Amino acid sequence: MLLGSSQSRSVWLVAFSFLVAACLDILPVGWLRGYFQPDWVALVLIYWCIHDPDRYGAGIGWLSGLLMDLLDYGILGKYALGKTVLGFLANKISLRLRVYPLWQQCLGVAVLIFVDVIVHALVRFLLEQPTLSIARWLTPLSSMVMWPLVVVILTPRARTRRY
Amino acid sequence: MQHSGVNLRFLVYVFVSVLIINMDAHTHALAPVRALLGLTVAPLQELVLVPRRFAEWVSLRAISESELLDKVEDLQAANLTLSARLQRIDGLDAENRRLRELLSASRRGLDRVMLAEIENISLEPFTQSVLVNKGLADGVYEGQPVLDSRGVMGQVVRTSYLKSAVSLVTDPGQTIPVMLERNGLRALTSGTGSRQLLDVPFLDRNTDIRRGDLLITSGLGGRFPYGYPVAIVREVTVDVNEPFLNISAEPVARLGYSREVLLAWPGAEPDADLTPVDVQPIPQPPVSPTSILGGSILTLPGQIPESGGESAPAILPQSTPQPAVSPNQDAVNATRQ
Repeated sequence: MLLGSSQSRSVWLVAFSFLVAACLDILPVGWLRGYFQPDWVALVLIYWCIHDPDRYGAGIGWLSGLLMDLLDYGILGKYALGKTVLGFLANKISLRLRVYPLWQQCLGVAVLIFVDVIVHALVRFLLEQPTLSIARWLTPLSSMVMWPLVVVILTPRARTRRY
Repeated sequence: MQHSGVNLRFLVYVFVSVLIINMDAHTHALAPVRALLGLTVAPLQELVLVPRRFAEWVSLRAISESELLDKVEDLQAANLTLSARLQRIDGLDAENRRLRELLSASRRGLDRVMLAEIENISLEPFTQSVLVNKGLADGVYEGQPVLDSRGVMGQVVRTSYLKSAVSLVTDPGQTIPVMLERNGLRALTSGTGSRQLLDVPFLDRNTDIRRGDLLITSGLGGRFPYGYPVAIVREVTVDVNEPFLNISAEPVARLGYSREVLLAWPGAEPDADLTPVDVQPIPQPPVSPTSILGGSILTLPGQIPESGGESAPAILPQSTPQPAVSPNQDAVNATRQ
């Protein structure tokens, strides 16, 4: 396996990366932040689901979504559902996505996160809640831009040289 | 074989999520769960606020002495003006109570308030809701009115032990029963999703409402106490094809700017020296705080710094004459005789 779980990464590192991502998601930058709002939790989730598909998938997606639900103070389970779908899909296409060049990975990530946003919007529509803001619809694009950064940070140095 | 297992687990997670969404959207069963689980993310929320608190601390240290003196002077002037107005209000309140007694109408108490701070941490930047730093532990309950120094800001929609989410008046799901201050006409305001705009629906074309009218809470519906400013009518347009007027209003509260907000307990005792002469029980809001925690929150001691450590019961027993009569009430007595 090229980048498989041969070098098994610590569960603590995974948990820590999710916590940092959640902090970045709720960072109080105020209205300055504007329309650039990458979904860090989704990026980290995709990373782990792609690079260790034997261990991470829908389950970790559900957990990270629940974390976001608790931080959001909206209706519980809204993010959990989206992230479950995201984790499952990322897990399914992990083999293909992992061998893509980085720029193609970016496109794949954008599509995956777009699915997550659509699930979120669908839940809102079914619950007759106000529609999503434009910032949220732009999340796939802003996250896509941040994907290389996540890859560089989470991949150990010895492994990055292979790209 | 392994693949079918993965798919099955995925379906189970989806099913659980859908179940949770439906339970939370349509029942209150998950409120305690949310409150408990909310504690686990509290450290994260505090951590994220550290840079801002540090910046505030630095800027506080950086204020020069002359600036500080100017500020004190301004505040003293403001305090004097407000005290003078409060004296008048004391008198008017006493008079109002006496007149209501003559009409044998039910009395309206003053409301107890608690200061809370808006924490700008949320996943979505442009929603019409904010997070405040008080929760169930401070006696906050779902449906509680939230004010700022100018008027109604919104109401608490979700609570955990340490924080609660406040839905602003401009939230599209938020409708508040109001009345025109000028003529007492009852109406509703509903949010539009824009911070500067409220909609006033369902008013006939021949309704007496015009630009500049102040809309105050009517107290109907039981959530918001009577008499707080909500919005000012900005524009009234008539469309002959529609049965109702198109009315847009602007919220009075500084929704985008206030850092400090007030959580109100309608009908609860505000303060020792504002205590009316005799207070009758005031009906509780329909969403009772006790229904959430299963215990009385309103009577917790020391909730409010202003109460001087005394645990004033939320609702005083009937016909308990209070010895503390403000001088203005004597004045009112004198004028009546």
